[in-house]
Amino acid sequence: MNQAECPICGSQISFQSLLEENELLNCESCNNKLVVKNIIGNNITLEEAPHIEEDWGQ
Amino acid sequence: MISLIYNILREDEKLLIQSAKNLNLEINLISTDKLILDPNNFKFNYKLILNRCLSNFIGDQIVYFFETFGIKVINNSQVNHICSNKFLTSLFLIKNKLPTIPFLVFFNEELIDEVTKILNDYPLVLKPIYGSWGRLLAKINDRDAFEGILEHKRYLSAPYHNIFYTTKYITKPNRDIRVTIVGNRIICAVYRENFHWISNTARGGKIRLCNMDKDLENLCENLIQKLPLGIYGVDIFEFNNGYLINELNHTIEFKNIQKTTGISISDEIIKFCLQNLNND
Ligand SMILES: Nc1ncnc2c1ncn2[C@@H]1O[C@H](COP(=O)(O)OP(=O)(O)OP(=O)(O)O)[C@@H](O)[C@H]1O
Ligand SMILES: [Zn+2]
Repeated sequence: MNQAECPICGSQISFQSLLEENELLNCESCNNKLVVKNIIGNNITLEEAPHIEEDWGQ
Repeated sequence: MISLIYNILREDEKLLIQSAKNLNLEINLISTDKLILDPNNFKFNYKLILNRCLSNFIGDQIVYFFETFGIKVINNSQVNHICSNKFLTSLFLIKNKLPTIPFLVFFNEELIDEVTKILNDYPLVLKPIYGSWGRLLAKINDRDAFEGILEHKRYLSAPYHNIFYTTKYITKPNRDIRVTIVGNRIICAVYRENFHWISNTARGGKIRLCNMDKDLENLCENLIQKLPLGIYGVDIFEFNNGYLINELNHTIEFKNIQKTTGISISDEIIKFCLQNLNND
């Protein structure tokens, strides 16, 4: 099991499953949307998800 | 093996990855952050690409680039061409005599009285030709609102906001219908219920399975005949005991439908990819 810190509220988030780069996550503590910035070994860096762009969606 | 190209990996893509695993199809994940589309050094040996870009504009470039070098992309550029621009979707629908919402495009705000007359009075709905999730849709109930909105549009930075794509407002029963099509098959239909006039799930619409009647089924079968083979989310309104096609989506978001109905759309998409792999 891996852990990473929420860049917004600082709480620890743990992951059961394999993560991918740019995967969208939800912080359960502050409910903000995050993305996986990079994965180096067991080190996972998260960042705030980008704001919605006009061409996003279906 | 298929290559799934994405900007941001959402739950929908996770479901696709899981389905690929279940169906024994190897899947290669490619983030657009890592891509350089260099035509002079084409080093991609992909067999088939599944375009799952959240950004439509980026997705379009991906599709055109790889198709240029003979790599099949799902959905292909023909599908993108019909679906990504709402005006082009409307033109496709009327050209193929498929029932749709009255629409027009104009570029000059001085024409609003004429436009309103053609569309047989308010309310109207103004939409950006690009976009999704109900973003920047405006229901216009009177002339004052129409003027105000058009003035605001003038100040938005993207030039496509100066294309005034205008449709008739359709009074519908607090819901619309989403039909999911994969290849030449209808996978399922659901209602999206909402008390807001914008009833899509991105705006909190509730999903309930819809048993298609003969008319709806015929309409969708007819649509499948006219469309290039691909993956589609078709938004349909019930109107006057019949149906109107509102729009066609090509990078479908299906997680909510899949979770509520238990129908595995992700499996169907992966099977469609497998068929395409085997056809080569
Ligand atoms: N002309 C109309 N009359 C009545 N309701 C409308 C009209 N156009 C859109 N709507 C409502 O707004 C919702 C979103 O419209 P539309 O699908 O055109 O926008 P979108 O931004 O592309 O959304 P999506 O991401 O669901 O495709 C529709 O599902 C419908 O509930
Ligand atoms: Zn947090």
